[in-house]
Amino acid sequence: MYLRNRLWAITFGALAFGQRYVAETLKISFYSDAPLEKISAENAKGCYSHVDFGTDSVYVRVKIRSFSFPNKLMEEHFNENYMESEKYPYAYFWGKLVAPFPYQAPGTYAVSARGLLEIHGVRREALISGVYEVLPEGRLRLTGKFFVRPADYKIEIPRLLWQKIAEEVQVQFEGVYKPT
Amino acid sequence: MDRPRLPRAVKLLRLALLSPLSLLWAQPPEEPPEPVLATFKGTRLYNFHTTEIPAPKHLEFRVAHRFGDLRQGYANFFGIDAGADVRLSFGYSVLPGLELGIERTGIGKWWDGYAKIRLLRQTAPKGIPVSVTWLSQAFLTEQKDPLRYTTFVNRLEYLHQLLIARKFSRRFSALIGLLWLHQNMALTAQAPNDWFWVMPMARFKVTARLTLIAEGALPLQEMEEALPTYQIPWSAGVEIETGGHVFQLGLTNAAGLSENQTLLTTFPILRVGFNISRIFSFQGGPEYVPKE
Repeated sequence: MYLRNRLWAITFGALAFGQRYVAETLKISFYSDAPLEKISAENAKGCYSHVDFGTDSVYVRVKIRSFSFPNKLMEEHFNENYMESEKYPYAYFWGKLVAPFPYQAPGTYAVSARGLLEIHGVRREALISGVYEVLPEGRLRLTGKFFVRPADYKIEIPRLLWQKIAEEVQVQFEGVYKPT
Repeated sequence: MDRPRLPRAVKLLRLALLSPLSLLWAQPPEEPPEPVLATFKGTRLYNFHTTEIPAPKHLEFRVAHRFGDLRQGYANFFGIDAGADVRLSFGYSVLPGLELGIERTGIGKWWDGYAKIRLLRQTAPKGIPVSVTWLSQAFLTEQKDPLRYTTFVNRLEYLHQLLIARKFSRRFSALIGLLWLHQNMALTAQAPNDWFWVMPMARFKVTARLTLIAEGALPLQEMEEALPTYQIPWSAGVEIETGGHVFQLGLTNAAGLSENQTLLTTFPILRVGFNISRIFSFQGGPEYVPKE
């Protein structure tokens, strides 16, 4: 594994130089607002992402176990009963930037990426939009939100709990990317 | 399959993404082993403790009910007409891996307090192979039996347990426990003050919310001499999870309800019952609120 990583770093490191940005910090949180219960969780430790401006591609990998809930029993249920994180430990997004991305000019811009979002082992088409800001030292700050319907990703919610888990869950992301 | 038909561009994109090339293209760092979650759903399987301890600053409130003798059949509505024996338990995790609890059992008027300490936690994918928990419990009865309990000290009993569990798969977990019960006042003139058991326990998760459970306690000493009618205590049942609650419905041959009585089951009975557990979080912390 290590060798493979090295080989790729050597082969493509030079090619991608100055065009690949890796998330230095990335926090993904979600919020479910149902009539009986509001549930929220945050993941600041288990997110990996990079953007490659050479190929206009975006990659995000989110570790499901790293979502932290104020109620740990809820966290256990989230992993065990809903996301089945032992079977599907990560959520992924592979995408292409919809429009060219002026990543070197200072300013704040809207951005979207179209591609595939995989949650709970189910892969679906998705368009994710956000705002990015070019920071000093060439860093980029990216923020945005989108909605996910658990039912679309075969996340079963028992009838008894319909009042407790929203049909649409709001997902927010906030990250700072730096050039490699 | 009710998969949506994807536009051609997306299909091509998917093909490109699934190729081995793109697998190498994504190279996040490798993750270290992590503690396994939910070896068992509850801190008790049915009558006995599992290796589980609530998260820090979480309170577990638990009510156990046991109905009358099932074998009387319809005449007694399978034991339900007899009413339920109840045990109330409160357990609070003061520190990560340290729970303190207090319980009251109707049968025998027993109070008990316990300390449960996590010694090891199984990790996955590799690392520590088992979870190990130590449990010490002190029981005090309020029974006023002038023949048996002549002094306060006579009314005390202690139970220590070493519990070793492993989650073998998403569905299957097993536990082996070593139990040592010390009774300040022996049951009979022939009975010893110290008793030992080895306790096997297992669960099999059928669906996300339904689990089969079974447990038993096998004595490590000769029981018949001291207790001629001794029965090996066992229980079997199902565990149902509904959001914040865990329900355990089961069948057991134990007449008692607190561990010290359950272990020394001496007359045949078969009773259904159920446990309800609810966990409250006092962890607090900043609640995440979405931005507009």
